Amino acid sequence: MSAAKTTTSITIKVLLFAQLRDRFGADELAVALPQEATGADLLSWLCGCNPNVAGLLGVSRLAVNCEYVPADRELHEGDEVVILPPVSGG
Amino acid sequence: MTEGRPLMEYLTHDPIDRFTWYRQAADARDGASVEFLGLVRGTEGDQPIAALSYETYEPMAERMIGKFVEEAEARWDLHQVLVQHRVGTVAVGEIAVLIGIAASHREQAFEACRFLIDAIKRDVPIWKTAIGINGAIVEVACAHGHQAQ
Repeated sequence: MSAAKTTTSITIKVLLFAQLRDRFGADELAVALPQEATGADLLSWLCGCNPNVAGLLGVSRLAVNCEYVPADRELHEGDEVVILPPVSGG
Repeated sequence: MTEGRPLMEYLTHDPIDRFTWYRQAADARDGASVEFLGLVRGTEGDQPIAALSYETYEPMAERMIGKFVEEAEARWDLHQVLVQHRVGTVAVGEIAVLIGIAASHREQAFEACRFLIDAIKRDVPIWKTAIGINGAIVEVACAHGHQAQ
């Protein structure tokens, strides 16, 4: 990661559902992160905002542009990131 | 308001008609027809409920169910596959999910049906909230053993 890049930030649209939406009191967040930030960085940032959700975030999954992704996935400007608490359909 | 929204293929806000699967066109190749109905039980944990309210992340849910249907069609020789899942409030006794499979042989139909319901319950972004008899939300421990916090 170059020094020049770390000074630039990206804005990620984050969608929240079910218990996570209720805990944050919002269904959508705009989060500014350093360039080359990953899903794990986003989760850390969210934990920092609201430590009460750490447990729930720990069992949630990440999706980017409608696909599940691992936490080390790099995020990009314009990505639509969804944090999915354990699903319960069917 | 549905005007201007693309039609959903697998998710529906409307009640699921339990005869939907029986009205599928007959196919002379069929030797087996398997139907799974997921119903709303009158209790969640030990608590009586009136309904379940289902919410979804619609674009991802539609896409994932579509991928699972494609995967089932690739793994087994299926003639017809139907998946419908309710969103919104579903009263006790109503159908929350319907899966229909037609194939030449019962093994294929049973296995594909089991694969689809298990995949939907494991991965598709749909969440339920239990509504009590008094209309209030019923807090239920997560079936997966997850702590809420």
